[in-house]
Amino acid sequence: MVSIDGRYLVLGFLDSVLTTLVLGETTRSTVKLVVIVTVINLVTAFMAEYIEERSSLNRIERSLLMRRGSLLRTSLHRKAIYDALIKGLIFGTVSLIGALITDLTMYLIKVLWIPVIPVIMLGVFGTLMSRYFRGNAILWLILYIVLGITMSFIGSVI
Amino acid sequence: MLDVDIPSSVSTVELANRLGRVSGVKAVNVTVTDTDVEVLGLVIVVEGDNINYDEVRRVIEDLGGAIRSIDQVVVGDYLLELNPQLLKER
Repeated sequence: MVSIDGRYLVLGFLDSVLTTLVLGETTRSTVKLVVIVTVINLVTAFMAEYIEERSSLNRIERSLLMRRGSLLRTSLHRKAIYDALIKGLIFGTVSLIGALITDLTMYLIKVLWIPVIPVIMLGVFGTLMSRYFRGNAILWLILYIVLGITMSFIGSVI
Repeated sequence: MLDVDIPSSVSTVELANRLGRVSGVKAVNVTVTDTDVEVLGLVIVVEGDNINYDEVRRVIEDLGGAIRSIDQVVVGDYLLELNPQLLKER
């Protein structure tokens, strides 16, 4: 069974909110926007996880004094693909939810060009993110709020 | 008796269970003799009648393991024990 790290859920959400803030102004269709963000995040997460798993297999091959690629025909490699796929799917699903919520709320309350609700969500999830490496919660709250404001500005000028 | 290295991420319980299902195998003993960050050194003792060695090898290799050496093989109508004194005298 794949162990799902909570940071994947938080990261998937943060990533999709930020991307939607940039693309939201230019892509008017909610369905199109959500599909773009979800697919990009799903593929990116799968590739990142798979590359991580492959580099781990390469290290094991070196430790076992095996030829490069020897472990590609083993159940270890099949498990690596399965794990990366599951994590990619979870990242994609969370991204879908994040993109959908952002797109549906970004026009509700606006101060200047800043969509207030998604920026507040970013702050909350940024604070949650800081828990995963015992970072400074206030610093991460401010960082993600500033990122949200910056991304929505980029989205409004392009 | 096999000298085997496996990735440390592989469960020795799963390895023992899978070896136990190989045709001809009646008993399996998996003992960890060496631990490293990435690799576990094992001594695996497999007992039974007409053990399918190719299948044993496939199970170990499928889990990413490598058989370093076959240290003891006993074949015959009865178990021929090795006198440890003989090894010392060599």
